[in-house]
Amino acid sequence: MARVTRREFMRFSGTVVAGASLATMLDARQAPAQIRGTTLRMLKWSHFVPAYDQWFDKFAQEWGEKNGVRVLVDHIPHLELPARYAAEFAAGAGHDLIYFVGQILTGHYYRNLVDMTDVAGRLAKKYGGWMPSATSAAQVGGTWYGIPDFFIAIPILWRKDLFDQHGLAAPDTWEKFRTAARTLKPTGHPTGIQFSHCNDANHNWRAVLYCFGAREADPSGREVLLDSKETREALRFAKALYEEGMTPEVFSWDDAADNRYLASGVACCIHDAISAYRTTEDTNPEVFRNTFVLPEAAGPGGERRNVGEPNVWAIWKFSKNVAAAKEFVEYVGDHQKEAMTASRGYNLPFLQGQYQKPMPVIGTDPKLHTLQDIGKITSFFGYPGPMSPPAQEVLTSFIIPDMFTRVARGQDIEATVGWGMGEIRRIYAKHQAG
Amino acid sequence: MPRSARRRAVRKHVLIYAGLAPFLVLAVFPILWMAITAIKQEADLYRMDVVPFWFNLPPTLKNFALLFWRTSYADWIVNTMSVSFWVSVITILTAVPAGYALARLKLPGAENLGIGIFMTYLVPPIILFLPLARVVSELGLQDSWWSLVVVYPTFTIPFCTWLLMGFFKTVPFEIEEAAQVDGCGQLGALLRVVLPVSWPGLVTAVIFSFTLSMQDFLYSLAFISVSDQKPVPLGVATELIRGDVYFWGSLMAGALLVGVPVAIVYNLFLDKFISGITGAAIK
Repeated sequence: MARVTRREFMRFSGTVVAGASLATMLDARQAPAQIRGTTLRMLKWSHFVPAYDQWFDKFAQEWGEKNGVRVLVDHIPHLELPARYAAEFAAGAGHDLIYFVGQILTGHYYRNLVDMTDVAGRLAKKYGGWMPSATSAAQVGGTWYGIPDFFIAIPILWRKDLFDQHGLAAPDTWEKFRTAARTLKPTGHPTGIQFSHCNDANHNWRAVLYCFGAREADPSGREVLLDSKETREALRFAKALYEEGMTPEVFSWDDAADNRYLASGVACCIHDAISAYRTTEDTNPEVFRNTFVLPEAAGPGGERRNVGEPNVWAIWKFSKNVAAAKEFVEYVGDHQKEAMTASRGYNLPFLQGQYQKPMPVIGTDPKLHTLQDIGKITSFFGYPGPMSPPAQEVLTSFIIPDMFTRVARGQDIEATVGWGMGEIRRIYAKHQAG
Repeated sequence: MPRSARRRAVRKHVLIYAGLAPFLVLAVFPILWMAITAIKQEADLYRMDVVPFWFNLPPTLKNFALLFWRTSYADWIVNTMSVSFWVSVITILTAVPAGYALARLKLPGAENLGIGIFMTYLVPPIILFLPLARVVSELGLQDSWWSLVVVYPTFTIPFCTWLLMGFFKTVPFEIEEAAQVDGCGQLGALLRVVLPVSWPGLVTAVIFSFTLSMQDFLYSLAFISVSDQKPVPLGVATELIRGDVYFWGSLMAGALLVGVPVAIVYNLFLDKFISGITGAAIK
């Protein structure tokens, strides 16, 4: 055995102690002294899990106390955020830190948002890089004008008891989904997907489109690709799904309607965020026991593509506390595990290193554990292009849900595609001209 | 009363009430539904295999408890009443002289000016809230309910000026002249003679400015995000709707607690309100 001299021992142990201290300091990452004594105001949406907002508010307060920053957190529903941002933009004053969800306005406001490339880089380095789709939500021209916080998956929720009674296979393809709806509708258990102007309609019908191989725009986001055979196939499928497996109430549904449909015990299967799963857990334990979850159904070519709902942080250029806002966003990125737990598995991270199994909540729930891999098949609106301002306008104009609604109501597919393409091209041309 | 006349009177009343009944059902049903939902258990709301118009599980006060203990509902009520009060005061103080001047002082172009003022009421808030955001910010009133006291008169004053203008035109000139003969000046005649006989018009203007202030959502959404500064319509909609989860029971409880007292107060002034509206409509 080699002898270790006293000098070598001191040098080695000194290096270890210094390294450990540095690691501890980095882990505890002290915010810069300049933010002490300042105020940080942020605006978020009202998360569907009230306990998550309570956790987040406490989490933000604790960060503030630790760093000597007075933190104020406001919450409003996601649908109301754009109006508030328009007012803040017009006034040139408001919250320091803002939040995009539902409508991702990074591309819309980027000239008035702070460059957050430094924060994105540090988080990527710590957690094995960003999911490829993250850039679409937060980058414009290669610069990070936002930091993706988490996304919401929109999986399939299905009633195993009803499927088993009729010998139906789990709806892991859209064809099986349709067969189940056709079989179970006469027994009083139809399916339902919104043919209306709501967020869920935008997600759900895009998922069908993408699973059928249709593409919304090219990767650069300049060229619209929806005029395709695959789009027509998806529309044809939706019409059949409606006629065979739904009732007309879906034309008046809002985002909460499918939650109610499942929780009431009527629906045989729906396509929605796990808020519907949690609502059922809280209100109808019997139905909840028999409700199972699949990440996504495959299209005819075997493609599975879930259309998620991204959540993105951003900082106004007129913010009075950019330094604190950046520090806080990075701190949030470091605590995604706690966020997942507080949100009952609703929040899914954008950072690849945070997908180590078992993930909090969904990794330990046998009915949700398949969602641990949903990041691999998740895309966002505009796919495979970015969430650009024209893609955003197409989303908020509900053109895609309207195309599906027109066909479900009996309009000719060719005429509908013609109408939809006309509307979408007009929007893209307007933005390209501007 | 002879028997046939009594029978005719009964038949007449039966017909009147039968004709009114559908309207009554239409008017009362939403309130009834609101009241039932407010005290239903959440699990009861999601049952589609039973009659939804009554209770299938025991009623509960949990929705009210959530409203009062887990939100700033009490603050929202105080804010709503404070905003409505101040807006009504500002509106009356401004619309009375404006309406009087336009109706009685024979100013050149008064009729067109009146139409112009009313037209500003028709400008939708969705266009106005952006420039007003700058005003609110410059005044340092962002996230304070006082911002609404500044902003709401932009739609209550034009409407009430128009309303009072029509009402003042119905007051005979002779009584004002008589007051002046007795020594009143123009202002004295307005305060001592015209306003007392215009009481129904003033009540109507107050009711309108009060309820218009209570109904707004967009301006309060644009200018207020702090929970304890919100008025009721903003508070219930922003804190009891979370993503695609609606707290129906508490939403209904929140609406009921504000809606019913206002409806009762409205009812107390119903005669004045009707004569105020119709009085203004005569001219």
